Amino acid sequence: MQRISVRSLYDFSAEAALQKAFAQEAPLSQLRLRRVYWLLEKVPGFAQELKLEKLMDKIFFDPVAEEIQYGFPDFLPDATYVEVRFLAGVTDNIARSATEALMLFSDSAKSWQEYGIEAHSGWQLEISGDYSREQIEKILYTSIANPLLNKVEILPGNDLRKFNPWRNFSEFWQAAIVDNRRLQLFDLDKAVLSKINEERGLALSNQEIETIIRHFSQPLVLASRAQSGWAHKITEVELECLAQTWSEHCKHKIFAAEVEYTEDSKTTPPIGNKKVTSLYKSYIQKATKDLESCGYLVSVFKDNAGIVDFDPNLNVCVKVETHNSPSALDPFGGAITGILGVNRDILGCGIGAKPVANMDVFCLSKKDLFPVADSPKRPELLKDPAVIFRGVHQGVEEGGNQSGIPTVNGSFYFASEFAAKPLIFVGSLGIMPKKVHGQASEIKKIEVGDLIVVAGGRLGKDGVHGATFSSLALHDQVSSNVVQIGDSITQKRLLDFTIQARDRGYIKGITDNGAGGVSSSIGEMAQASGGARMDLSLHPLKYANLEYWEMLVSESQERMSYAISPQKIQEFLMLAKDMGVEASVLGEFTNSGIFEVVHGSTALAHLDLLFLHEGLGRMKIKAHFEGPQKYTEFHRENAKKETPLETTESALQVLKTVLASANVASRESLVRYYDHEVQGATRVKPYGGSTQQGANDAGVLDLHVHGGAQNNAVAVSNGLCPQFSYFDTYLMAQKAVDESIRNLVATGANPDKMALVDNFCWPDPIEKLSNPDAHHKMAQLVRACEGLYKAALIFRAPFVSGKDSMKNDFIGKTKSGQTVKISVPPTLLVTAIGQVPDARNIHPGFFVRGEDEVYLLGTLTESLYASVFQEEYAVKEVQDPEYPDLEQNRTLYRNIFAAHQSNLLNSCHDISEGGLLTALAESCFGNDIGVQLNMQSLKWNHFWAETGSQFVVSVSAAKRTEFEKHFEGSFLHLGKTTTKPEFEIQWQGQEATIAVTSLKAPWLKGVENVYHG
Amino acid sequence: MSIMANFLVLWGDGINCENETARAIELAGGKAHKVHINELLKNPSSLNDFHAMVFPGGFSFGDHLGSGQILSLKLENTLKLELLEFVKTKPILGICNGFQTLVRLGLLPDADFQRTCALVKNQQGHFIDRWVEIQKNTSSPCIWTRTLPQKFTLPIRHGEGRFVCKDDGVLRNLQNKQQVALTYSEDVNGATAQIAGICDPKGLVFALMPHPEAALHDWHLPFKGEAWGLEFFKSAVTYIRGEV
Repeated sequence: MQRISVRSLYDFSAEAALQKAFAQEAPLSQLRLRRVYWLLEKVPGFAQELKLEKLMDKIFFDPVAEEIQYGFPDFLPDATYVEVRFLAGVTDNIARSATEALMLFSDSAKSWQEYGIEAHSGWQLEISGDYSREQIEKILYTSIANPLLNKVEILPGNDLRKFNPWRNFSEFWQAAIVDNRRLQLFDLDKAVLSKINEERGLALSNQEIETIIRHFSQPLVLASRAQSGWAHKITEVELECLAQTWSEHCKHKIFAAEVEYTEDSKTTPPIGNKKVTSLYKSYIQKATKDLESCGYLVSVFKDNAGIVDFDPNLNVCVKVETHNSPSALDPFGGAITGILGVNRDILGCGIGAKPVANMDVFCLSKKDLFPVADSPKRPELLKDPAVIFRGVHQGVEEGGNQSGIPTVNGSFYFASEFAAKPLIFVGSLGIMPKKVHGQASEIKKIEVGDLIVVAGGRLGKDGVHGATFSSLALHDQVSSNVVQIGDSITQKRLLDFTIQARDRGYIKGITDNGAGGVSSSIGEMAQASGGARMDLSLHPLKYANLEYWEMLVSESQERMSYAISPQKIQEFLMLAKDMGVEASVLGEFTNSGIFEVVHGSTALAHLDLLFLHEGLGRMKIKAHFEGPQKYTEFHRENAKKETPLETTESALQVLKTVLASANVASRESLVRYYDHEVQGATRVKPYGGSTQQGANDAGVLDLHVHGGAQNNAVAVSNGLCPQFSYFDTYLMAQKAVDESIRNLVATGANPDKMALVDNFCWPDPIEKLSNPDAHHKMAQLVRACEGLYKAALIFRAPFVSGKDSMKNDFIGKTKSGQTVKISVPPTLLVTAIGQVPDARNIHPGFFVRGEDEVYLLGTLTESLYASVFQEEYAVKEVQDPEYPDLEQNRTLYRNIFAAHQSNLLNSCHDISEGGLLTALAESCFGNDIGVQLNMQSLKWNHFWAETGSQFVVSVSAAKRTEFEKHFEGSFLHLGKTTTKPEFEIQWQGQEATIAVTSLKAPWLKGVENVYHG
Repeated sequence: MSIMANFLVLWGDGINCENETARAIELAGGKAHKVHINELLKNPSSLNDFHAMVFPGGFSFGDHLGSGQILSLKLENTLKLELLEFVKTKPILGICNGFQTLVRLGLLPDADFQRTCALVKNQQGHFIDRWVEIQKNTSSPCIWTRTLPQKFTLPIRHGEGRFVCKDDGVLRNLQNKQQVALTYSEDVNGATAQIAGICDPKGLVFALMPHPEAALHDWHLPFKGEAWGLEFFKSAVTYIRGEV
């Protein structure tokens, strides 16, 4: 076992962060961080043959920028040493690359897994200071290590000088050998299956277990299973496959349920007591059906992503996913697998689409909304909010940047209830040529005899039970194998390969292996031909000790499943090999009506496809709306500020506070970690202007660069307002739609050519002891759907894709032993995409020059409900929120589009978090432009209300008359821009002024403070 | 009729700016041939079919073991002789990860397979995407920057873009031989002498951290202004046409 370690001579950023963390605990005299590599010889004599000693210098370090150490340091007696290693079986990307590098010097192996040297990567710390083991672990577990992924070894230098147990621990990574892999058979008995269900966390309901027993007890089924000795039995592989296919995560049972909805007689707006069979069919799909005549829907709901026609040459695809549970456990790993997963959804669209943009929205808690580490109220297991923030941010950064996909839109939203299950929304846009070799690219044509091929990563225990796990509430007990780590490089190769294979006409059908692994992907694809036969012994493994059922449901990442005709298979496999992608034929598609799984000569599963996909009965759920509920925050460290005086001077001070508030402050410094212009097609970047600090409302992507028509572009934006859910989810849903569309319209997209994606993240609405208000939560879901449906119809914006995550609750114990439950507010993310027919006529979200006229467009509102003002200040009485008039908004939005097209506007910014004054200040930041505002006709609440649908626009003075005629009845003149960067406001007969930089400084810092928390 | 300038654009293994780089070459009047690394390594002599070679940006091998490290090993192992021959007479451009690779290969600063410089992590400790002002060294022999104005803006998009030299001698040498082709107008990542791009003494091998292929149209800029990225490729096309 060889050990080397490397330390940069220039970069101390990771080391400095650790030094800071340690110094906060106790005085630190020194801390040194080193990257460690361990090299294990798997084939005796191989290291010598390879001349490994000589190679190490060449491969593992840069003589210009790093220093290297062979073996161990000379241990200082007074220092403490730490080794951080990956646990066995955890994906170690650096080690994988190191092995590939070694293989360049002896390509004797088929793949890196079979290579004669096994590499591992990790960290070494040398700490001089007085720290307990607990303190060291605490710091490392919030920085470079995660107990679910890493082993942290701590020893004093003195002990290591006497005896060094770290010299050889090669068995640490050895996988247990499964020599007698055996298929378990279970009796078709309720007690037996319930026990297995509980033990394995399969998330099956009693009703589902009964359905299974009934199906397998039918005479015909019994007869067909008798010859294999499976009569009156179910194999563990079959049970796992059913549990995965029927999981809430995959089957969306709540959205398909029969719901009996009632509401209080005083409910406004009333939607009436009713019985709804499938919320999905009655609202989401119905909206799209009702709007089918729009003419640009290519493929909706049936594929991995929605496909629309926004360009004569290209199809545009869109998909948004959530990765909440994995991100709660391992924020970095959860977020990176989330973003890579949604990219694969795009890749698996039609016969393969190319991801061209990423979007990400995080709902998180923050330090001052969560009990401090040693508080008795602190829930055990949960991570520090800032640790989650940094982890998910870096995960999306690495996943997107390393895949070469620009992140063009997103947001962060902070509230106390996201402490346990953060909501991590990850989205992606894709494009594909309309025709590939004369075939429509959106159509999968899987026929009997086509081969089942899987390519990309190998199978491991990572992500076993991900689908069933995310269908349960998060508890203290979690097994580490649900955690996955993304591998952007394997995925990038897979992506490059797939697009090449598509363009050569090799692919007949393709789908992503996400939740549920091949059980899900092949099980679904099998429906096209009417059956499938698959041999799991042909799927390459990461290590040998996988059980049969684990092979079927493992969610090991970076894998795609393909249907390839036997005539093309040789070329397909050859291309894969040439491009460094591992591809394996697992079986073939049939029309037997059966999903048949074997491992070599051992039969594992024989499942009726119809039963697998349609056998599930409809759940029945009761829903009763109790009216608006009071919002009680889960936690707040410091009381809100006292209500300020309503004066002109005070307005500017309040504005500073609001601008610094986490839900308003600039995301710019963190957005710059994301590459937002790789692929060279980003027309509107998240921030722009001469300062590069001006916020834009939507991302705009040029389609011509990707093969589309000249100056044709697609815009993408999002809307999310969970704080309104406590009042009414009908309002919340309508506001989310309105906000997403407002963002598109502000930028210049066509409101008559839009498509929406809905992502519901709900607290569990299923009745049980631990869930006393389940009926209300279900009613909130019904009302959200009703609001959503109506909004879609009014805006004539169809849904093209969507997803739901219905178990966003945490039940655990606080440090003092109290049971604590934290549920997210009912949350709906609406992602909107819209066509920009002439991308030359788009305008930024910030002022571009002095002496322009400044207007407000839209109707003023007064309620401070769910406003940032009300988040910062203790407001005694908050008036009920106004509901938007969507019909009126639609007219306004169409007028704005026309104004963009005729270049009547110089800038247009949506008013959202923070309200009117915030939007005006933000408009100044892009080019450090000042503004003189006459607000005499406005009330105090107009400055801060967030319940309206409004815009701040700037217009050339010469176009004033034309503008006022165009927007007759919907504008309010507020003042003019100035080249002098001062924010001047006249109100109540008084004037107050503040430098734009004084407003900008706190705005720029607000989120960074949360991030570094 | 002028000849077609044929550019090899390398891709695969995590390189990810090959498409926009190829597009830039074509817009500049050249012919871009995207060649997968594995395809090139199968047939090293095919390198001779091209007039110029471009190492685009991206994350080859995920930046593991250091940006450009494994890609440079992979190329050196099979393609060293061909590359040595190529750099004698033909232009090579490295952008971002391509710069890192060329430095690791030792094709820069002196095209002699010696490592004397490095691109280390930004002083800020993380990836940064923003547009910055670049200044051209008008005395540089670089053939890739000939038609550029003295000042222009380009986006930087890197985590490891801080240029450093092994010692002061290396830096002085670079400066004396006018190999520092581009500098940042302000300190953006902690790079020595605000160096953004360097070339070999002949001016044929050139690499830079900013992305010219992402600044082809005025609309690429996040503010009002002019895009100059295409000029790098036009300069090379002009050079090739003159040479052949």
